[in-house]
Amino acid sequence: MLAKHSALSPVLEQLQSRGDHVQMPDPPSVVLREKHYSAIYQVSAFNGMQSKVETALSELLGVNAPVALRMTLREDLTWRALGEGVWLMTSQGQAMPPLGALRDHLSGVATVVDLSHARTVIQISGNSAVATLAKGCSLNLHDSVFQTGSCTNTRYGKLGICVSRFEDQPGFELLVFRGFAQHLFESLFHAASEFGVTIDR
Amino acid sequence: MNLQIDRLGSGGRIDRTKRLNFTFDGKAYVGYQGDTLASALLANGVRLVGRSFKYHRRRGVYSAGPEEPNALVQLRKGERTEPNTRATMIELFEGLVATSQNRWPSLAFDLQSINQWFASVIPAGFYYKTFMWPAKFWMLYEKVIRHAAGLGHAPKVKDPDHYAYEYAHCDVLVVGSGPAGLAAARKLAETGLQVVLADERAELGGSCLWTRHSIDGVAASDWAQSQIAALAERPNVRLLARSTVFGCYDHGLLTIAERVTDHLATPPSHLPRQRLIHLRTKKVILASGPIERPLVFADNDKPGVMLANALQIYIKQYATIPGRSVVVFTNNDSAYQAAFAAAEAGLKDVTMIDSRQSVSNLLTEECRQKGIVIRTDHVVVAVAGQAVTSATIQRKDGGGPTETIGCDVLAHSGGWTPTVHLYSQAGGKLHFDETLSSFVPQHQLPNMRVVGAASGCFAVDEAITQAQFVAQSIEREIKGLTLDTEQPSVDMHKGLYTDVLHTEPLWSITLGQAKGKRFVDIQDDVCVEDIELAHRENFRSVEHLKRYTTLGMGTDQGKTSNVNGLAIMAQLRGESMPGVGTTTFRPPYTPVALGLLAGDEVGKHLAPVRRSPVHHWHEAHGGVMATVGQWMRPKVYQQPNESFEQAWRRESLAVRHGVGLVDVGTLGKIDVQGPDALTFLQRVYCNNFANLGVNKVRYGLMLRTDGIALDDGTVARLSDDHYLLTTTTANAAKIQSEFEYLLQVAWPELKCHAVSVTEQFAQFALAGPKSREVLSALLPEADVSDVGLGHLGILQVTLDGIAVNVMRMSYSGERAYEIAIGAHYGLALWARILEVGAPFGITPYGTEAMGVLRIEKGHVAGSELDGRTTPADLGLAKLTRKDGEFMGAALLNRSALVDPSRPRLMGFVPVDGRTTIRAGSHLVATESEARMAVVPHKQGFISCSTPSPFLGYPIALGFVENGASRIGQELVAASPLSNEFVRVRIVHPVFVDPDNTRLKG
Repeated sequence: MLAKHSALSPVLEQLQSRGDHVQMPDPPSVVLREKHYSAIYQVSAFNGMQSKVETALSELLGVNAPVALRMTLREDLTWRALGEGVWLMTSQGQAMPPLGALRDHLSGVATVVDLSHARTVIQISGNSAVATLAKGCSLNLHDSVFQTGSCTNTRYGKLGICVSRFEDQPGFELLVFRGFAQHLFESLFHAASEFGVTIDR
Repeated sequence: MNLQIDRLGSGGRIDRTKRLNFTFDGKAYVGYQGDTLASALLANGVRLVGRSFKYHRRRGVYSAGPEEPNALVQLRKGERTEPNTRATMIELFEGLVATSQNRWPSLAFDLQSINQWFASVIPAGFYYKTFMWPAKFWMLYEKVIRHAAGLGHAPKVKDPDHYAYEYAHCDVLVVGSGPAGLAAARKLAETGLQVVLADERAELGGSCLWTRHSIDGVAASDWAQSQIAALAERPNVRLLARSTVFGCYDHGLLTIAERVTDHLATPPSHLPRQRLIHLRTKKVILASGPIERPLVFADNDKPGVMLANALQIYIKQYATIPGRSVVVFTNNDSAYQAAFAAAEAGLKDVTMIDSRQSVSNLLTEECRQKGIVIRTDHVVVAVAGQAVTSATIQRKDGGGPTETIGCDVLAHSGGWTPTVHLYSQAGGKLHFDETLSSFVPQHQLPNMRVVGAASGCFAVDEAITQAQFVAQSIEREIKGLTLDTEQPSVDMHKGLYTDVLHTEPLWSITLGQAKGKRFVDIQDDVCVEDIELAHRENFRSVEHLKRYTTLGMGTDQGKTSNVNGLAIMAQLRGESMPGVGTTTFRPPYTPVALGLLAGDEVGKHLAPVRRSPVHHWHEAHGGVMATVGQWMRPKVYQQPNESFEQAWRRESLAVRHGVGLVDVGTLGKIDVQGPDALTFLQRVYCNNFANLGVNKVRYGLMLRTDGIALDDGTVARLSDDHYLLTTTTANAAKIQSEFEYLLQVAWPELKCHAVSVTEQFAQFALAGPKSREVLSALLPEADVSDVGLGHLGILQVTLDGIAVNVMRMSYSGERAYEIAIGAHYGLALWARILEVGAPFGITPYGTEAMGVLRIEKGHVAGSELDGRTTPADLGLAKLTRKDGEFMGAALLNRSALVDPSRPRLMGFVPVDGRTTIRAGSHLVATESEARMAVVPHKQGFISCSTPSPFLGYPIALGFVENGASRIGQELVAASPLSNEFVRVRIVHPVFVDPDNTRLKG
């Protein structure tokens, strides 16, 4: 069987084999972890078709459509509204309908593109997660502004990322182009070392 | 040994239990925690700390704050050394090493101090005059001037520390933590708004730390401590000490330099040395206080001359007495506090020289009680000694004899200049307040309010009331509450405030016979005479004055000197101060390290690196990596005992004779879907896709709107309205963004989306005569025969249940297949292909061999798509559709673009069959023309070149006029820079397999 290798697996193995996956101060206040989604789809509505797509997807998935820059969740499925008529759907396990079924369901109103391999997902949590992200992201990710359930496309340093906030405790998911994953991960690890960081595998 | 001879026995905000050892110019001293380097040097009796910029005059500590013009030292040594640091702002730490600057051979004996004896021949503007005449001598002057000028030395080795950025956000930024800043922050803290309070000093409290005032019935320092403690408990308040707000920009952006570990001997490795905070705030309260202004008299730069307020600070905050006998020279009330502090510290000889005719009874009475002599209506004319030993005074009107008063400290105050840098950067206009003799903010700005002394309000109780009021109104504005219509005006120049200073304008003292220089800008050695000269030579605008004399151009940016300089120019011009105006305040407020601006974006964090799914395999197998766009790609896989050239020769021959595998996943890939996908493709490509069947792939050429070739790639049709496009690696992002622009802005009516899927697929090209056998071994179930998968066909199959796309197309000219799979499976597929290909001798190859192969086949790449070539130039004219309904069509038929003599893509070989042709060479008729002609007739150029391992001789591609009709003609490829002149013959641009028999099998 062909084995799967994430973009981060070589660097995580390297850091862990060197014992460099935990940086003082101790206890660390930032935890980094790679998350694996089984499906990541981008749904893009044709002009003027946004509400039809929302209705169609709501019916199919049994969950309300998110308003702009928010996400709705159903079990292992997350539906993010990232822009005018652009959504990102992620899921674990079998929560997402097959790509073909989704395309058929949205035929004539939207396109669906499979990005399951195109994105790497990095989770960052801990009390200094916001402070770590503030070193590279110019948006205010403080929970008074970027509340749980928020998501947006932004930048970390020179990289484009999609950031989403999950729990009330500072917990973020960053989606990044697969090819940039190692660079982003190393940047975050370096940025978080001030606060103490550990990698959770 | 503790020889702090000038340290008071008690008092100050220093921790006497923590002794700190330090050295200055190699000599060991001791200070205390809480000292600055300046206070510790003064406590140790060190008076001489530096040499001046131009005349190399002796200089001592002049101030106690960020305005310091004199006490600039080289801090630390080795890789962490830092020039021009202000001793007044350096916190003392154990083991601190500082050296004086701008002197040779020593601080006490500096040969270049000879400059001051030649001052008359190096006046203001000397540097500029050397340009004019005699012109020949400029080279001589330049060497001398460059050697003499400058202060400290930048480190020559890599900075061992790291720096960080932070993007922060708040509702209100309060700049400065003196009485007004603390009062405003305290009021705001209770509102729940997010507040940041920043102060450049190590300890918050501003003037509360040394003033004799009391606030709310307690000592100001105690009041400040209670306010700070209360603020520290608030979760909505962030206190930033050691943090200089140095720039104010549009949309509420302010930049703050936080010195995180500058005060530590060695910063812990996990902490940044400094942090650049980009703070977005809704409102700013500027409580930045004032800077004391000097008075201008003869030899006013000598060690021992210092600002009155500095004297007070050294005594009160640092328990240091900078001398034993003190003359305080003033034109206002504030300097009396320095005299009182000196008397309270036990100094017996304290004299007040006051230029004003009378002084309030309150001050007179306190002077009497403390034994301080007051000489009103007098001025200091000059001081004497290498360091001050006496002051010469005279009646202000010049009447009466001069008198000499012995003293070793001459403290002086010419009034106060509100620190309005940030207000001015924010666009605020300044107003000259006659009462204060100062520029003050003219109006409050919508998003920046100036309070306290920075606004001209010098009475502490009034400043606190004002700050609290401003804080309240800001709260209402942010929360959108109704404004109180009866709010008092907060315009600050209408006599709203009590004039507590009673300042009398006194810009320079011109009395007496004193010959000494009267310094205006002490750091840049600009004297009254220089300003007079600038005026005589008609450099009278303040901006000209600044550049001509260098007034205010030092590291201190004229914090103590600008207003005096402008006032003197105003007097010379016979105008008022507002008539003369001020120079522009620009960021940074005080110098910042370049490392701070670079932040973390250095070294491997400088530019993002993009890695293919097979990246680590490439690296582990001898891959010599290079960046293409942001991607890391292997140029060759260098085997042990193999040179770089041997590697690419081996790899390219393996493809021609056997089979090779190359990672092409970095090519841009764009998924185009929708009912209007074909319409979109027909518009962006100049060639035709209307007849492209499902599961077929075709070359595509895109033009710019001006008809010039933009990028090329392939278009694969996966289903009726679903296409997968490739672009070149380097142009992927540009093309993607162009597509999005077109679909969103130009053609929003198209039901079609273009989404980047570059990262979705790992993609490998399997090329060579044996490629089909390897493919067959890889996909035993699939029909990969020429019938099942003909040239430019697509096979959508599965491998171990995983979807795999196989496209038969070729860049090398050999039979080839591009195999794409989900990127997570890329590494496994790569390994699998190598495994099944091993019996066929499969060879991984890199971009070098790929480049060789494409030149052999005559394929164009970036060096041909260079922004100057049309499809016809590239030999691709037959591709362009005749309907003219594509981007670039309208301008493609311009006369210059259809000129038949335009340089056209051709092949070139050396006539001697062995000399490599240099890429970039010009094509000219003869070598003698290339060498001799003034303007040789350039007929074209070589765009790319390589030795061809397969053909056994060098080949090249290039463009030459009337190329198609000149096959067989000879020219010279001339590269005069490298002195290479190669006779070349024009040949067909396809060197290998021109009839495509190898390609199609």
